[in-house]
Amino acid sequence: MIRNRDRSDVLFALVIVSFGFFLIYSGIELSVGKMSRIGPGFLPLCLGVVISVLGTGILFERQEGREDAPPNLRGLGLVSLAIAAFAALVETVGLFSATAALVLLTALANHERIRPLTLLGTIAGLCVVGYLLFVVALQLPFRPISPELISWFTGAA
Amino acid sequence: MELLANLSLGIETAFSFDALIYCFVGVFIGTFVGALPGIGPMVTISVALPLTFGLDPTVALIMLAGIFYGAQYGGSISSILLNLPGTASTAVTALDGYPMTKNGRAGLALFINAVASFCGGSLAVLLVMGFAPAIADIALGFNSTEYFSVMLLGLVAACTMSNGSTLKALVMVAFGLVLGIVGLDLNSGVPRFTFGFLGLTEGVSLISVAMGLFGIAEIVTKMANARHGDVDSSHMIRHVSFRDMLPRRDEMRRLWGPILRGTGIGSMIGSLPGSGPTVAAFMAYAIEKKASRTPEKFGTGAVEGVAAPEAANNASVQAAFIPTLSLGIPGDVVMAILLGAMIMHGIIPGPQLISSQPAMFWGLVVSFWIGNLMLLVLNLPLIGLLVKIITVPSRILYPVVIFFICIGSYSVANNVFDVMVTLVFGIIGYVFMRLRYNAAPVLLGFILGPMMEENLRRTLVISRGDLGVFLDRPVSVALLLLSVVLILMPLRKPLTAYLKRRFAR
Repeated sequence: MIRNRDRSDVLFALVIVSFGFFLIYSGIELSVGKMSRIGPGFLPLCLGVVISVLGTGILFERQEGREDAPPNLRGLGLVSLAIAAFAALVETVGLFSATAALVLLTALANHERIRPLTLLGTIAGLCVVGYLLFVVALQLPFRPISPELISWFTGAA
Repeated sequence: MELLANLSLGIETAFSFDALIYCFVGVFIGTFVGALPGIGPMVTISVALPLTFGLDPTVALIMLAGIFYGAQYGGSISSILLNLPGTASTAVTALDGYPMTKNGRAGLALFINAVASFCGGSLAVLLVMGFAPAIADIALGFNSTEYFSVMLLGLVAACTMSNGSTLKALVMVAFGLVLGIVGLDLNSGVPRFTFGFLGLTEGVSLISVAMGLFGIAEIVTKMANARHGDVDSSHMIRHVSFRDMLPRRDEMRRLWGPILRGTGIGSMIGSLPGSGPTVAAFMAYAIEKKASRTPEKFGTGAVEGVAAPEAANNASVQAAFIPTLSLGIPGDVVMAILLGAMIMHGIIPGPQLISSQPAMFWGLVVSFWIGNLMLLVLNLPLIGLLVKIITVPSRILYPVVIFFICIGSYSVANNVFDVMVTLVFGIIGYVFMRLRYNAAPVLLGFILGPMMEENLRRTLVISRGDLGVFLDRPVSVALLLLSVVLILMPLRKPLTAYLKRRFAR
């Protein structure tokens, strides 16, 4: 009988084996070349064989015990969202709003509660640090606030 | 005499104004991030790396290396005072360091930590000076065949010596090698595994891989058990006077043995690929306990229990530079990132590094001494500030770290795409962590992959496709045999058990 926690191990071993097969397939697609002149697919093919063999080995290996804390899916999801939001906003709407979105979502992901004032303080602090360090000192092409956003605000007002 | 000339070159380089300033900045930052549980030297170096692009490569490496060994000092401070190891390698220090704090001898523990770390670190630097150039000299005679075999051995050794399942570690290395393949193949001009993304034609960014697999995954894991350890003791350590720090005479005499043994163990383990400061510290502690006439005192605040692992982890951190600088083979993850930093600065790692960039090598080595000295001096006055920073609640710390990870991965190529790549690796890293796959070998494979492929290609062109060439050259045979032995070693136990059962019947 397969217990629940073993199932994910077995599943992942199968993922590894199929990843190996995918590499073998794409190695052949990329052209393996001759032994004296190896093509771009040679190494992928070799690695594919190695990975699928190792994956099969893991499938049959006894897994060591592991603590059964439930996976932190909520944390992972919200942190992912935070990073994605930062990526989406930083060039379009500007560094400040991207920072705010990131801090807010990361704070939500954390199990510890954060007071609104601390949250605002963290956002403000990071905006200042980010601006001084990355825009002023290192001249990364960030705009703190995009001109479109400003004109949208002034237009609306 | 040559050594003197080299040393004076190194002193000249390392004592330049820029080098001194950045060395200080490096060890200073290192101390802090080392003390903070949750961000290790690895993530910090990844974040700092893009910031060094404008600097002279030598100065950049001096700073990045400073972060690495500075973190060992900082990590032990939070181990001793708060029972919260800032970095994994200082977890052992807490075993005796924290009891010392509870006995009211925090000052002494910190003093021992500083002195043992300094001794371990600076003695190991001597070994780097002696061994790295000698090994590089030998390796200069290598051709592509031997070089491929050396790298293979490096990867295999890294897998088999790390703890946990060897099979899993090998899969991780292979995965890293695959990641190294991603991008335009320079020989054929064919894009490989880019899946049509333009952002992948130049390959996956090292920083994205490192920060995703280690930074993000680590934070998501930590969030789930977000409870700070024993912060109550912070009030006991506000006032540590200098007098408290000095050991009694009998304690002084008991320290030298552990420090020297720790240094020896640390240097040996550090120079081997795959086993970093954490293993070194654990081994030094275990051996010290065995050698001691009063093993029952360990765990209750024995001075030897602080001195030995501290000397060991700092020695190991410095000794790890031996294979990195002499062969271009990273011993552990942080070394892999430093090698990546060299490559990004246009310096080709390998046995020719020391002879082609003498100012860099000797400057770096001398800067290790300067940095260790700075840490020794810096360590004690900073403790009050450090304690305050360590107790920053995670609800503020985590958003800050994620922010720096995002900006760091963006700033490599000023590209939002890289931020998304980091995110993807963060998710992958979390899965690895949950399923007990140690992601460290991924980075080693990733760094060595392209070099291995190039050397393999060259070897096969020269031998006209004959793989037998790997078995023709004695050095290569020896290296490959060693790799095979290392792979088969973990199979020994189940194999003998199987054979016994077979023959019993």
